[in-house]
Amino acid sequence: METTLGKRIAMLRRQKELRQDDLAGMLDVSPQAVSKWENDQTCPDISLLPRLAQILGVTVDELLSGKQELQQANVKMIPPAEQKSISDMMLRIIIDSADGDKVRVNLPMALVQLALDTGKGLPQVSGKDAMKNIDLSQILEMVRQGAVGTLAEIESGDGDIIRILVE
Amino acid sequence: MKIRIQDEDTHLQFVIPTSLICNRLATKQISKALNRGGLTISPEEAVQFAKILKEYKRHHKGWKLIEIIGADGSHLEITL
Repeated sequence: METTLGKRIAMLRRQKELRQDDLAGMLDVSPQAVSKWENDQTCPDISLLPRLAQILGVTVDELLSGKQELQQANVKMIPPAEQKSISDMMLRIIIDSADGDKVRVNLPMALVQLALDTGKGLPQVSGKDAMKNIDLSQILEMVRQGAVGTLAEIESGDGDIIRILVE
Repeated sequence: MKIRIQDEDTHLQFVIPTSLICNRLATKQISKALNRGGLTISPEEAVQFAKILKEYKRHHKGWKLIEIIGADGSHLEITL
């Protein structure tokens, strides 16, 4: 889907749950400036792009081009002494479909654990075939071993990108 | 629970007390609806799920359960 830079900034800002004021404060610009960017009336100064991209959680290239780069799976192993309880952790399912739709689901790991214990599978949040091959019990086992981060990243033949993160 | 639905022509926002959906009566109805939709879940299991959601919400205010952004710019968001 073709989007403008302003629309991408607005969408990414909302995903990070930031207000325009918050983003403006982080970049040391006025909230009006952020509003103008998001309405495609002006563009951010080039010197702000690296910091803006960092805040929004993307690369400068992704911010400018709108194309998402498939990142290498970024998994960290947390030592047992530093691991959070599973009941405090969250499973995030991120689906970016080739059609331009985006789905974000955030589930408590305790809920995922209960679903597995009662024989339920991963919720078919989008009807995507790629979701059906994800083994939730393996993901839970990885989390029990201390894995956090992007545990699975799939690009389907249709161009859909599905990421499973735990944090 | 806050439900926000937005598209070109519509901007709706509902605020529903979580206790209204996380009780035995509501979970029984939710279980029936899910069963009709093909997801087999008993009322007892639905109660367990609701308890977890309620507990998690206590410690994670503003937690976004689901967010859908359509290619046409439409937006659906459920925040607990």
